[in-house]
Amino acid sequence: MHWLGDRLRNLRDEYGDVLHAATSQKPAPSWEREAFLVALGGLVRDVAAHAGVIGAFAEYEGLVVDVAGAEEGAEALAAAASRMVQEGREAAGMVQLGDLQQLLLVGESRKVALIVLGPMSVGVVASSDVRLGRVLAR
Amino acid sequence: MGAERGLLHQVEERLAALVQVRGVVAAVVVDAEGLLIASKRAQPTDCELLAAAARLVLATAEQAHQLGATGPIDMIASEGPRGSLLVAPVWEGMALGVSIAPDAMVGSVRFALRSAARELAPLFGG
Repeated sequence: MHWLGDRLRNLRDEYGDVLHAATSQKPAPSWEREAFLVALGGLVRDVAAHAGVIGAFAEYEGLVVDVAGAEEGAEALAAAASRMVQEGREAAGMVQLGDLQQLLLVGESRKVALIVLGPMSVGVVASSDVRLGRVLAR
Repeated sequence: MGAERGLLHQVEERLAALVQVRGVVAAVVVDAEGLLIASKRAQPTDCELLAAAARLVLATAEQAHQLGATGPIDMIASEGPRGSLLVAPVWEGMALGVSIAPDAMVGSVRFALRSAARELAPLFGG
């Protein structure tokens, strides 16, 4: 089993109504939204606590929902993440990959993984030499 | 004209090697404007669209680099349920893109992609 995959699946299963309501006319009850944000914040902190992870964040419409680890530049990165996911979705649609699930950017110094969570995305920043798939598997 | 044909032949040779890698559906080289320079397909694919998608993804990643989030971009992967699009910069806005099937050995494709991008760069003056 994959630790991060399981955590994201649990969030989607447990708070599917909240994630769906974010893009629909009918809002989710406030207690459910608050519970979701607490769970999402817990996930962001747990991801950031993994060895090799520099920082983690969650964004909605380019705004930081939660951040943990290295927080410097998180606001700019969240704004960029939103655009990147939007354009990644467009590219995925062009080549018929289906709904974008994840975008991975590998740079010379760092890598950034953006995992789509309904209308939000969860970003993970790590050094380029870190194997994120392995690190976040447990 | 002959020199251009020779260059295209060398580029296509590298793309042909890339589509031999298990799970690679198609490979393209696209210029900084998003125009298709060369392509090879292992399966029927709209390579013009693949080129446009590859350029879009690279432009997107360059935003992260400009923010100082990653350093110069080495590779970008967009993953969906029906496969992935992997893109590596070649030289001055030029990109190498491959579409891969969901059951591809992603590690071997990444390795082949990076190697091909490094081989292609000098052909274009890099």
